[in-house]
Amino acid sequence: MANTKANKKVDHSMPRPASFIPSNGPAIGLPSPLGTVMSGQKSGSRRKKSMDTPLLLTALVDAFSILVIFLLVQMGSGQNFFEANDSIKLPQASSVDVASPSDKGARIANLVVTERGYILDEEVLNLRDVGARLKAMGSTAENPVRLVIQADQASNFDLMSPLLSLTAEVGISKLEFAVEEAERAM
Amino acid sequence: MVSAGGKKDKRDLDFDLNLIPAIDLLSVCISFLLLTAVWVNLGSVKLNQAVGETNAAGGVNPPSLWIEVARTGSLTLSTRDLPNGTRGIEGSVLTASRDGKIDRKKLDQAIEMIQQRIPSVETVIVRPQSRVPYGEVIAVIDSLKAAKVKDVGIAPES
Repeated sequence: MANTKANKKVDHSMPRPASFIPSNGPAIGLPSPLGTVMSGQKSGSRRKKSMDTPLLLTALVDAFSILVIFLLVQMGSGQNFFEANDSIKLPQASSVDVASPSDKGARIANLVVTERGYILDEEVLNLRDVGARLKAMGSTAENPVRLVIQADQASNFDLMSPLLSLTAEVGISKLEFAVEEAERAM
Repeated sequence: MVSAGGKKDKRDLDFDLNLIPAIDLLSVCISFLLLTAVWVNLGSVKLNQAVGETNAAGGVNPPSLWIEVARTGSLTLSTRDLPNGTRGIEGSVLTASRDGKIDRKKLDQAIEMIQQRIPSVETVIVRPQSRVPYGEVIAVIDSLKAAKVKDVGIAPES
């Protein structure tokens, strides 16, 4: 029966679908010249092979689900507690300190040290104003302030020296230097 | 299809689950999560500030290791306030690597050696000289943190 079908001559009078898959069904358009070549049909002697490849949607859904779960888990664990300034490149460090219980609820003062001045909570200030602001924050044991200092890795440490003296004056002895977490090369 | 009794055709219970909307939904989820994902993890290195070299309260300073960071990338290690009879280090210099940066390998070995020889040293003060790149100071602090040094402090050059 299959041979009969394969040997059946193609009726060229009927318009045929313009696809790569030869078909004997209802025809639209002209027959594709590649149809015979791709299906491996040789002068109608061999059985026609179907070029239809079923798309495994179940595997695709599985892969997508795994990707979504991975991204959700990563999203939950990778929240930064401060926002990095785009204009600077933070230094990299592998031994990053984790937040202690006393850090929870503490106010975060984000201080960016640049060549043109100090940016405290997105406001450009001079050193004296930074001192006044930090003093006004009033870091106490009950109401601690976490001072997170950001600076470019190539910047001069001399920019930091007056700031460190200033923080000591206003009573902030614990400092946090912002870094980019990195794997350490062994 | 004929049923076992042969009286009635069994109703076909197979149905096609339309997976296309599920794929669409998952694609949207993936796109959203990729756009909002945090690719650079930021953290902080906590330090205590050490101002001055003497204890203002007049008490006894704990045994400490002072690391001076030079602009050239070399490090000078000295111990201070060690208990009587303990042999310390005085001005031991670790030269910079070929690229003029701090030699992390040498520093790690030196810290390990000091921790073994003088276990009472639990405080390390980093003292950068003028015009030292900030990244190099953080590299020294990172090595100390990796070596599980209890107290790491910073003392800017006055």
